[in-house]
Amino acid sequence: MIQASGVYDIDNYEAFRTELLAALKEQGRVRVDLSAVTFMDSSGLSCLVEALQVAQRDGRELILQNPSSKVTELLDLSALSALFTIEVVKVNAAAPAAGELGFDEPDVSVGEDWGGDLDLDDLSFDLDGDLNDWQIGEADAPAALHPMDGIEPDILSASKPEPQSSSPTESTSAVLPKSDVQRGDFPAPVTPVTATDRSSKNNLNLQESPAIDLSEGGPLEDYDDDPLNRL
Amino acid sequence: MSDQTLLGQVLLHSGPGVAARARACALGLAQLEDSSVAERVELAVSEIIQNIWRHAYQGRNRGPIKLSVYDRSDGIEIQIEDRGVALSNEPVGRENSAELLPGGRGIMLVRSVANQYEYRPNPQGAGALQVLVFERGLTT
Repeated sequence: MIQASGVYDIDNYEAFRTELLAALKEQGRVRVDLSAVTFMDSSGLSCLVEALQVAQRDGRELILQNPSSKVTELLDLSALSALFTIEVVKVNAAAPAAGELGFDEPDVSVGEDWGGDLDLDDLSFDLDGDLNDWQIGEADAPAALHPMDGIEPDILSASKPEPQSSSPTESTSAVLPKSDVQRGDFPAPVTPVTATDRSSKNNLNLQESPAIDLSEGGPLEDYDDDPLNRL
Repeated sequence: MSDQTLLGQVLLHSGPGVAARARACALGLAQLEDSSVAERVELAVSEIIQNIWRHAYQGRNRGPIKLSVYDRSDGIEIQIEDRGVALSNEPVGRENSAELLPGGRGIMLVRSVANQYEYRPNPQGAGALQVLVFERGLTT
């Protein structure tokens, strides 16, 4: 897991790029936690794109986990969201105990009186041949599937099944598009990432910000005659 | 223009930290109330400053960059001027941003987040003036 945080722009994207590519060399699956990224521009984005290129080329997996709102917006603006695997998980969720999975358990219990008097011994049929050659007749299928009614040996017909036109695995092998948010490791519940607090950004005080040096407007050797230097 | 008021100007120089300084200056001078507009300003300014350092000054440090912020009736205007190598035409970004290629997205992002963007080569010499306009949201 790579923990990304803070600002990723032209000043610091190189270290991020190096870390991503090194991790992809060593691991088959690399998760990058982007929840603490407060700003990213195209420099940081290019690192993620290059890392995804490398991952695809080398058969590795790159997962962007919990991208902050800034990163999410940047991916959307760049039309790149669909290309990345994005995982949104609740970071500090405690694993629920068995039976506390957050949904009602089925109202079924073994041995419960379900209102019928069917004896399982009555359902033993003497069928010759390969079981695979047998199938329930289409017209009788609903009755046959009901546990109570009309279960008689004659509802079965000995017709060969029609060849399947498609592989039975096709319906279960669908791959979600990359844009779909994928759940994290079971059983952590999926929750949306909390929007970052943007309220303080507009209250920047130039005098209080140590990153801003307004005194650097003096003449420069190369640009002494430039009117741009005389504000 | 008569309908705009200069809120402030700062002179920056290409080099380490210039993008962060420019973002902070633009936001500090504009004093935007709408955080969504502020985020767009932050991204656009960062992309333009990055381009100036990389391409106009070709990675050299200490190239002057003037950042001016104007208040307009419909929003704010940010002008960023440099004296580096100018392009003869407006820079062209990546047409298909969804291509999996690093780089080339800066101008595309600028155009995405700014309501107006102009690139004006300096007719008297080196450099260019880049103008960004961000309209205020309906809620402000």
